[in-house]
Amino acid sequence: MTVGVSRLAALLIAAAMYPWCAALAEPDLEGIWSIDPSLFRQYSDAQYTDEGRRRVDSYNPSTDDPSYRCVPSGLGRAWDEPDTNVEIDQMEDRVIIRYEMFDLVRTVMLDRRGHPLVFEPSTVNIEGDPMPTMGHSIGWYEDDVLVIETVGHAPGYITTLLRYIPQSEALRSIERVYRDEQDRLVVDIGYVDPITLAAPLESRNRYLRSDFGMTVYGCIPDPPGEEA
Amino acid sequence: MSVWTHRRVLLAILWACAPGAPQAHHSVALNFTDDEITLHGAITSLRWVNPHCTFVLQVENGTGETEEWLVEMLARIALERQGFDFDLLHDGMVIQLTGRLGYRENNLRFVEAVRPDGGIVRERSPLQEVFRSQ
Repeated sequence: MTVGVSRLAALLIAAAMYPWCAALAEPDLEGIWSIDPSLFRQYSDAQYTDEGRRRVDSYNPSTDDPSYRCVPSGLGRAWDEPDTNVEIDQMEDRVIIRYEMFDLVRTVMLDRRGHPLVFEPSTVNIEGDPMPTMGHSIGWYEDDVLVIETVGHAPGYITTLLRYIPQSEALRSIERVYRDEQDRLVVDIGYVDPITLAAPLESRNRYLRSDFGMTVYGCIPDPPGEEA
Repeated sequence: MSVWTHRRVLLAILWACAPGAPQAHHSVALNFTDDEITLHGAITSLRWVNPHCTFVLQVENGTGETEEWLVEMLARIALERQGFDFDLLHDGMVIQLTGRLGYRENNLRFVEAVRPDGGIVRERSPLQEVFRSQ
């Protein structure tokens, strides 16, 4: 066998094995998960810019929380939800994350090298309405971790549970999603927002395999007829 | 700001800072104080929905007028998963209700209700059992 043929054979074998090897490298995150009561909503201390502080001070929890309109205030809010499930489906070119709360479907494309110039929210609700506070996400795998980068967030609040941390259009978040040795899902998120945050913010939530299946949440604005 | 308002703000801050305080949907800690009151009245406009089950409690005040209080409970999905019996409360039922005062006027967070037969109705978040045991 000549050197050229050997090289060609090696290339063919490598090409044939690539999907198998890639699959081996990807973590299995699939399943229906619910928040682990022993580790959730662990946030570092938020340090605000003057603008961030101004937005915190002007926040009125009785009227400003987008949850009243069945809209997540931000990415952290979706992950922080205690009463509902999160389902993860991994496909070759995308990861689908379904948040039972507000019937949110988030599509994280894995085959993109960057974000579009005009952001389209990666998250929609059951009606197909875009959820711009959740931003535009792309993802990739780093060893056994799914990494998701999200930009293009509409102004809102990273979370509104226990604390309300404002976010601007300049927010960039990196989620690191992985399974630990006890078959629990861990989601670490780093947030950088030069308009509202004077220092990076970090959060961690952990999830267990849920005892319940996914349901249709069917959110109804609360209180009825009141717009936040 | 009155002493009463100061107390409410302080209580709210303390509650908000408590690790692991149970919250859902809109933040309970940020919308309700820890101050509990008990009212006697009739249930109307009961809605078993997400993100919050609600009803209006019609309460006769001291002057013979009827006040309406909006009472908020957990999400329907949370109640279902704890095995809550939705037949325990219904429109027209007269109950004794204990709830946490909201920052909005005539707004209460459901704590417990005593039915006409003396039965006590409570709810619990899936997380609350953990907090109780800590």
